[in-house]
Amino acid sequence: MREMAVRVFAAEFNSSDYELREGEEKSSVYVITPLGAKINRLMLMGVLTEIESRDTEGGKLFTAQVTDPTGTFRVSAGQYQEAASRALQSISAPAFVAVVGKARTYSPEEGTVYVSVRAEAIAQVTQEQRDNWVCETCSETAKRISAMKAAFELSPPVAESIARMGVPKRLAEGATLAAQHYKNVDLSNYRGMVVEALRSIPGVEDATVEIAPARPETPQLPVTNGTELTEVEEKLLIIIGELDRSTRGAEWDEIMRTAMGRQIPEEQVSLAVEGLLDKGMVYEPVLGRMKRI
Amino acid sequence: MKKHVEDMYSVLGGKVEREALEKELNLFVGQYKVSIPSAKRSIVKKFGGDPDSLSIGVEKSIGEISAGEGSVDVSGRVVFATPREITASGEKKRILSGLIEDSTGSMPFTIWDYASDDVSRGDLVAFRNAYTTSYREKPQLNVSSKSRFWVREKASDWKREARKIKDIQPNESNILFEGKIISVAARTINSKGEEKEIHYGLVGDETKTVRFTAWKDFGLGKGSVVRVEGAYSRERNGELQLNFSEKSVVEKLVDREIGSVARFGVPRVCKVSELREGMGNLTVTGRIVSVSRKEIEVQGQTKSMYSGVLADETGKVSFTGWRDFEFKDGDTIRITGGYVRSWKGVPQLKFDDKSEVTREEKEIKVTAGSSSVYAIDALEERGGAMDASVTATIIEVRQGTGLIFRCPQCKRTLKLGECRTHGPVDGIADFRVRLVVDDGTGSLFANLNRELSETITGYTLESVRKRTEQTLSQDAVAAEISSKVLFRTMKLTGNVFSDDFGLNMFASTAEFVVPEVKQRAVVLFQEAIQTLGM
Repeated sequence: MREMAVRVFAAEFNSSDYELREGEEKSSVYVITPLGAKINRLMLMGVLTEIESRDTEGGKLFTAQVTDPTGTFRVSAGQYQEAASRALQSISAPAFVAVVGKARTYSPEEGTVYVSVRAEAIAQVTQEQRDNWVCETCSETAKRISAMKAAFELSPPVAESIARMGVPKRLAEGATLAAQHYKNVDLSNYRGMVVEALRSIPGVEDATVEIAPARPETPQLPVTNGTELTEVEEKLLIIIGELDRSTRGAEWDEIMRTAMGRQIPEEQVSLAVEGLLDKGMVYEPVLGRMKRI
Repeated sequence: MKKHVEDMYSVLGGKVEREALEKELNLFVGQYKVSIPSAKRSIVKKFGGDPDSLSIGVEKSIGEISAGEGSVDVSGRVVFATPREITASGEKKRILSGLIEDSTGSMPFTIWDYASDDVSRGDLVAFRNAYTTSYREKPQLNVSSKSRFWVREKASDWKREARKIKDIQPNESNILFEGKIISVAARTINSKGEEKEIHYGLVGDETKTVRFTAWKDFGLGKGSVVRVEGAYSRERNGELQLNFSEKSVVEKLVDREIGSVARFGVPRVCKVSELREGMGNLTVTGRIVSVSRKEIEVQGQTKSMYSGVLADETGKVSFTGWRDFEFKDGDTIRITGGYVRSWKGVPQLKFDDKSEVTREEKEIKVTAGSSSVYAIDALEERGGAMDASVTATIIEVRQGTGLIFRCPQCKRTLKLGECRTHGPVDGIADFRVRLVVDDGTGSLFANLNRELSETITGYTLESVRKRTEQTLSQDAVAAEISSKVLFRTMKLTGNVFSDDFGLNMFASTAEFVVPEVKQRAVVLFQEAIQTLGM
């Protein structure tokens, strides 16, 4: 399967210290971010601020810094990333660039993990293209925040349950892994990051100030869980219980008589018994007899 | 006609020959255009019989009767009946209540003035001028002093007939049916502080499969065929359920086999875009975009197979059917009991002998050529789609982009001048672009034909050929195309299939778009500040 290119901000990506290997011979490597993005490949856009080249044993290695509204990506391209290396040689900082590449981790010492991007392709882009990427990334980040919220509310988090809430399967898995690995993720911090990133798109704040409504109050609807009994149903349940002396169930005629004796109109009795049957509170072991479940 | 003659013959007690009755009936109905029921009444009267005793054409079947009818003529077998004494307005009165049934349903009845002792279990009883009231939303037959009833046939060696599950209505009691246990499991429930084990699962016959609950352990085993007497039915979540009470009698039928059990569930109504691999028992309504018939040999037999494309307002789907199908392009049809099997990941709608296909009068909105918009993860989940539209960023120009040669016979791409099937051939030059596009939810391979490739790159087959000959390699052209298109946003439509490497689109349209950013960002911004409570 070809790996998709995840949209992720530098702040989220750089906070990752969790590498996961999956598949045959553990050949698929993923970085799991604190918001549950499962990243093998990513696409980023930002301002190229620095390019360096170094001679290494494996040939020339280019490293670059790409800044988005939240932080800075470390991007590298070596001899096997020929196209990306060539592109880096031809672009001079500062410039808007887009990068597609693989997530890499390196651990200089026990307990420290750094992430970076091994570029597959780099190209100059326009500011509009960059803004579009910011917008897409905000949208994807917001989805991850909701998924994480769900994952933290479940104990333990289960991917199937999160997926059932309408979260895509891949994200549900990622959120589950992240919730287990990263104990303290400040989701409101990431929400603030999304707001700041959107603010960087020209015109967004101005347009919003005019139309930003007061937070609408969610109307409190009366909660019925579908099993709540009406007053008459409760009375009848008691009657049925009382009359069921033989354990074969209370006889219909007797129920009717007793209920009417207690000032419950006939049609309400039928209605309430129907209700009790529907709510699974009583059943009819034989025709004309009612029994509590 | 024969059954009507028989009906009159038995009312008249054999006093009049069948031939004579048939002649009369032909005269009334054939020559004078009198309706059969009134003709029969007239004939019976003429020969001194009681027209009220006629059954066929006068009576309703039990399934047709609703609550609140003023004058009901009906007959049915008495499943059980119990006489009782009641006190009404200070007077003692004898009544008979019980249950009658025919092949279409069952109905509780009460004879409010029951002096005789004529009616017993198994009798076929006819009722005239009875009325119905409602008992738990079901009609109940009331036989008053103004009504008449009589035993049409005594139960000498009556054997109760099992009902078909399809005909069972909710809130029926004392049902007899035969079915196969499709699945069964046990669960402990708390009943009046007592632990109680109930058994539940699916039971079905040729006509329908439903959920059941057995309120005691009948030793039901998966796959066994049972005869259940004394079941009652309920409706839950719009679904018929059968209950076996403690008094029900369950008998295992060793010699009976139900081969083709109906699929479980109320047919699920689905829009085309909601179809997924493995779904069954579906109801799909759509317009036939195209249809064709094929004769296919199946185990030495020739069968007709119909295939085509069905569309609704949400999308298009290919269909294949193995049953008679007299519909044509432009017809709106409803397929009930269809199911989905995927081909190369694309859901396809299937129907067979168990499915029903009917014409729908209502117009379905299908804009010709309109395609459905998908996020790529939705296509991944679905496995593919016909005529899908995606908007995504080009993140790679793949190998194989540029000048290629195709086999003149099979059109396959040649490798080093050779076709996989036809060996070394003189290839036909072609130009194509192969892209990876990604919308942040997933990625797909897009294959663009010559026309689309030329449009989006501005190259022609000729210019690509020249460029390739100059550089002696495909790579230069691919690199140039990459520098033109990489990271641009493209809107593509086409059929999407999946294989081991992911989704493949064969594009029918491709164009660059400038995505609208500000509106989307404003909406996101508002959502974000609201969840922050700012």
